[in-house]
Amino acid sequence: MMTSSEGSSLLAARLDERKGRLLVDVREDITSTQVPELRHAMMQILEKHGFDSWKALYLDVRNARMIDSMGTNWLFAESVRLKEHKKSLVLRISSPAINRVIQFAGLDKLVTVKFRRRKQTR
Amino acid sequence: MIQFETRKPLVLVVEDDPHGRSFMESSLELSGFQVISVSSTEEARQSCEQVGISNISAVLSDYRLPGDSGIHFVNWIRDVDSTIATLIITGQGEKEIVQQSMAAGVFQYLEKPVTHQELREILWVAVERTRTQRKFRSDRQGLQALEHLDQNMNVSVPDTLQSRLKVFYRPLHEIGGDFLITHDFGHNRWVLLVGDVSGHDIRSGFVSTYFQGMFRGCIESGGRLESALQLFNRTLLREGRQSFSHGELISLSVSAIDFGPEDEYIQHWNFGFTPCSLVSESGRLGDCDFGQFPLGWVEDILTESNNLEVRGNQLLYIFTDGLAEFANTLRINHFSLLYRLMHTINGLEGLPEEPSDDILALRYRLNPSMSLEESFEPILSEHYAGTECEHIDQLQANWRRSITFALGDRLGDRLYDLLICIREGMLNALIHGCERSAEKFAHLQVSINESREILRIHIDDPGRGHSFDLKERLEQINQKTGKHLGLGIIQRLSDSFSIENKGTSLVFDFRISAE
Repeated sequence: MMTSSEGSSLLAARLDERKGRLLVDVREDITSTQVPELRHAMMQILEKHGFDSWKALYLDVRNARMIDSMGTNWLFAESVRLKEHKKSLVLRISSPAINRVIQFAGLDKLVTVKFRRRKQTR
Repeated sequence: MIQFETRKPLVLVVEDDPHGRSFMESSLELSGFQVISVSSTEEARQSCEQVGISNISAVLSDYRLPGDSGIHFVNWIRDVDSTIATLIITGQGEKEIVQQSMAAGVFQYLEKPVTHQELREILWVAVERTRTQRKFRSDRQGLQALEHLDQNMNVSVPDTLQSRLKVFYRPLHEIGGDFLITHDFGHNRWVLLVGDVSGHDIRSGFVSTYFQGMFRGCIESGGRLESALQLFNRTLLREGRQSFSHGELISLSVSAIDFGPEDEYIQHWNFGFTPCSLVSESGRLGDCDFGQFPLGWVEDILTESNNLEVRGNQLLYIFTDGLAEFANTLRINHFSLLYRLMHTINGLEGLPEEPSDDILALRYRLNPSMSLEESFEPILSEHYAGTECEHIDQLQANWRRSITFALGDRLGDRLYDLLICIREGMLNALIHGCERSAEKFAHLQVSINESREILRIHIDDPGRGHSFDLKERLEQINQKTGKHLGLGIIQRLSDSFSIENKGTSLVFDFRISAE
């Protein structure tokens, strides 16, 4: 069963209870300007869905072209928070630029990264 | 061979009805026209060829003709000579025909029955319109011939400088107000003068031509460059308001350079011109002085030059304000536009806007033994106040626009690596170096070295710097502390990275061919 969730303009969430996944789409780049709203929106999503009906949070950042240091820190903080609740974080990435930053920052060792390159159209 | 009286305007009448044709012929002859009257479009075409279409002042055609329509015929006329006024006669109530006539560029339509007076009045107006159109076309042709002359006169570069000096020139009108003059004194000494006459109309072009002649006369008769500048100023003050301006002040902005025989230094004069720029061998860009008022503003001008020392393989850029204005219209950095104009044959083609002023830009290589391709060329240079960190997304959009304007998609996906590195570097400079202050400025510049296929980024801030060990700091990033990540992003995503001036300057390179 899929349930949708009202997110912010930056995040949209829906729950896939059958697979035990909370699916969250990121609609913009993950940069310093967006991080405060991303942090707030993620908190709202987690409050709404709680932690009981899913096991992994799939964060789809395939619409983003880039991530900066503040964005990387936000992802790191979210991964820590989920780990505390014994949940895993899966990142879906299509931007080589984002993948490179995730790798050298070591985030790929803390979360599962699913990288499939596609041409950036934005 | 038909003979025509040369003073009377010649009207071609096409009407298949003999009574109507006879009436129009008589009416027009009584009104002072010469008339050729025919009954079909085939005959009409033959008449045009026989008398020469440029001798015909107006065409009056019935709409309904055997085997053809008057509209087809006037379309043919307009294709051959678009200056001729054409008139169509229709039956009563044929409104659709009227609309078609207007769409085909017909000068006027007449509805039957037409009176003698109507015919006389409308034909005289039509003939006058043809005369005006032909005069206008003749003037345009004359100006187009001048355009070629202007291209040769305004930006002539002697053969000895062809390998060192590259010029882009695009006048707004057929004759431009911007100009470039060079004069070779021999013994490896020569002068260069770039001028921009105020105003955007064709008058500026004529004033520009006047000053070019004056400069050549002055220099070739042994006068010094300073004397020529003094003479320009006096002439503008004395004559400008009377002869040229009709109450409007005309001034001349000048950037002039005297290249010494040993190329160790250059003397530079700037009167109201956009400051010229010198790009160092490593791609660092510096502006020269802002100079004085334009010539023609004040009585006393200082003609002492500013001496610029020549160091290594520098490039000198001089451009008129039309370049910066047009770049602003396109919402890109002016160096981005300059790079494109210097590296493409028709750099202005296909752009969404048209320039609103002349554009004259030149690039000069100070070291004669180096090739232009070995040098770094700027594609972006901007100064930002510390407060601009609040608008970092907007700045990033501007960088992206300028870089892609200059380079197209040569960077591929690495464009985003580059943008994020510039973002990290600029945020560091604006927040820490400029302390978010409106009084402190950071400088971003992006330059390209085509032969080495390198894009080099310099970010300079006015901060006091710091004394950390870069290697040690970058190692800390691998310990996943989360600190100094921005620095690490630049180091990892770029192809080389260094910190200069105790940390107040970041320099990093991207290989263009790398993917």
